Amino acid sequence: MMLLMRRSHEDWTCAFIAQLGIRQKRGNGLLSTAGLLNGRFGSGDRLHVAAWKTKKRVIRTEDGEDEKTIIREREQFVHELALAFANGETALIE
Amino acid sequence: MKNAHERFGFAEFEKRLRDTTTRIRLTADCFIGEREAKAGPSHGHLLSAFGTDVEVAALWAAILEEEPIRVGGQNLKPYMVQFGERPTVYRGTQTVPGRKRPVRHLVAVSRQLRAEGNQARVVVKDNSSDLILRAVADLHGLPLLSDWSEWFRIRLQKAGRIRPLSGLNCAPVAIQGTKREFLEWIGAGLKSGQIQIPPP
Repeated sequence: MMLLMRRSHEDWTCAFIAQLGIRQKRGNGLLSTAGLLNGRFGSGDRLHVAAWKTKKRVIRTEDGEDEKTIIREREQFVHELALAFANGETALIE
Repeated sequence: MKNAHERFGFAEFEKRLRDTTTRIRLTADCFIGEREAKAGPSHGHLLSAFGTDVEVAALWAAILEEEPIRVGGQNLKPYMVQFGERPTVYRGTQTVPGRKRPVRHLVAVSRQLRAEGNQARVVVKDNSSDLILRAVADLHGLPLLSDWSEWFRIRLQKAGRIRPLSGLNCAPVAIQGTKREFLEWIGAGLKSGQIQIPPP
């Protein structure tokens, strides 16, 4: 998939106005990993700094079957968004 | 640069076999370590050393086998360090004009410096405000702006979260703190007006 290049922070007012072509789930992941969704966005009360981070999570399950224990490890990547608003509010969204 | 060799330190180790002891000494140009308060080997985080092919191969083996290595230099009192479990070791070759054989270079990096171990601790090579802010923001994924570097450094110092480490040709520090804690600090700083977000 070809990604559209972001021109500069100045031209963008919100992280979520990315064009439809790159707003798919997959596209957001690529953009956040590349750090293209980090920076200052919004205006007035909604002025904020956004920082994305991709984390690996391992879900471990253990099943017992006929005196045997089967351990399954499922790896998944999650995107974490940390926000700091101009009025002092902060948020951590996963 | 004149007298550049005066800035160099050393990294040496001893290998004892049945009836022989071999001491290998390399020239070190950069090192980050953490002196242990108690007796015993301390932790090494970064070592950049160079020497001949045999010397570098021997040091590489010693690091991977978790053998204690003695490191010292100008303004660094010699002490024993270990790089712990699974350090990353890079080796390269540099051709020096006028020398028959190339110089081998080795860089060892601990898991802690690669930010694979304790996530609430970041080791930074230099104690400059900009580098500290960049390292913490990148590792934790924090909404920090470069203009806030001085504020962030003062905040860390006030909370006693900066611990100086011992270094050769660098001034390393360890930063202690979790993502949630730092995010709370940012929120409080914005609320009190100590830091502002300039409009985009």
